[in-house]
Amino acid sequence: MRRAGPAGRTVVLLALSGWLAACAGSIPRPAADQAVRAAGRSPGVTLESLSRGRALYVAKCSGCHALEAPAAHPEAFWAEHVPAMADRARLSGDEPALILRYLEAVRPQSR
Amino acid sequence: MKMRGTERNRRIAVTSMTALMAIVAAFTAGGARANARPFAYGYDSGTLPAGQHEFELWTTWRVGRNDVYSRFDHRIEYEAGVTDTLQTALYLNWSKASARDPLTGSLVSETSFGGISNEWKWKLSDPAADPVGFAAYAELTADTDEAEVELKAIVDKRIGGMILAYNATVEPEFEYDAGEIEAENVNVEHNLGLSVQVSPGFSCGVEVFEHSAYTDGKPRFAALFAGPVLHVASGRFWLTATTLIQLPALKPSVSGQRFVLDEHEKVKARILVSLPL
Repeated sequence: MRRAGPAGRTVVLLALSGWLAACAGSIPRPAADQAVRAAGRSPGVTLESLSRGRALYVAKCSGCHALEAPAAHPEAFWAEHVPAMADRARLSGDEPALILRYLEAVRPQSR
Repeated sequence: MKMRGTERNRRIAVTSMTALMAIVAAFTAGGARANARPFAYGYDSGTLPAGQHEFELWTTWRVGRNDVYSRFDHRIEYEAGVTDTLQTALYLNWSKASARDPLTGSLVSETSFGGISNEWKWKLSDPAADPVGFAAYAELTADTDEAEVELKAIVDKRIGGMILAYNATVEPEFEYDAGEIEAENVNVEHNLGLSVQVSPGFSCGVEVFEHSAYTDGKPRFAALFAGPVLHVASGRFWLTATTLIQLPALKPSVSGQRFVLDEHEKVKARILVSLPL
């Protein structure tokens, strides 16, 4: 069997890297219109607070388990699980609420 | 105890894997917790969140060389999240190896302490939130007569319940000799792993591992391994197991041989178990 030489391996690695880079992240960044809608439901929500909720979700939750897309579960699931995981993820103050508002706001049905 | 050779070793490995599969099948409920590792040889980019701690037990069974050979490598790891993207770990390493003495034909066993290791892992991007996950990894192992530095680049991508991870590792070894430190060998490793989540508490996939060794800049061998990997999680407990089988070498250590059997084994089986704190 003929083995791939250095050039062949480089092509394979580049193709793999390209495929990986082409795959966008599945944890969407909040948009301005989502912030406006979310503020209608929860006064005080801003684009900045949704962005902070996303950053907290990525930082605090990904260490223990794979991040799931906000649209992967209904709102009731997040409303139950985020407070339940708060201690384990060492969330404090308004951090659980920020994560929850973000997860609710960027779901497709929230647009 | 006299061993009957490679056929028996292979049978033991297959039986052990079957038993392990049965244990794994009993743990298919529950979600992944703690800093669960989907691969036993390769790493993903995840780090423990700040303030979290975990113990991990590692056991690697390496069996079958040119002659009778069986070895267990054990590691106890204490892992701690320093920040949400930086973690450190301390390891205690030891092993026991048994091989046939070529002069007497009897089995000779040796137990050795493998020194202590300190690991640092810095996550720079997330495999689900960002286009590609990336982490830089460094591990220093010090023993009474040698030291190793392991530098690793970790790239991974998670799409739904699937994770693909690639590691590139460079590992120079140094030996203390007559008060001087001498560079001895350089090891270069590549790990590629693909794992798919079957249920919230169970994933399975494939790992491929390539190890090239260099002395004075010249390649000595390039060994290749592949095998299945299983991951099971329940509550805060998780277990990851793999059995890697050696494939025909990319560069054999001995001309004319298909495998690298002087510094590697035919089969390597590893189990990682978390002990959450």
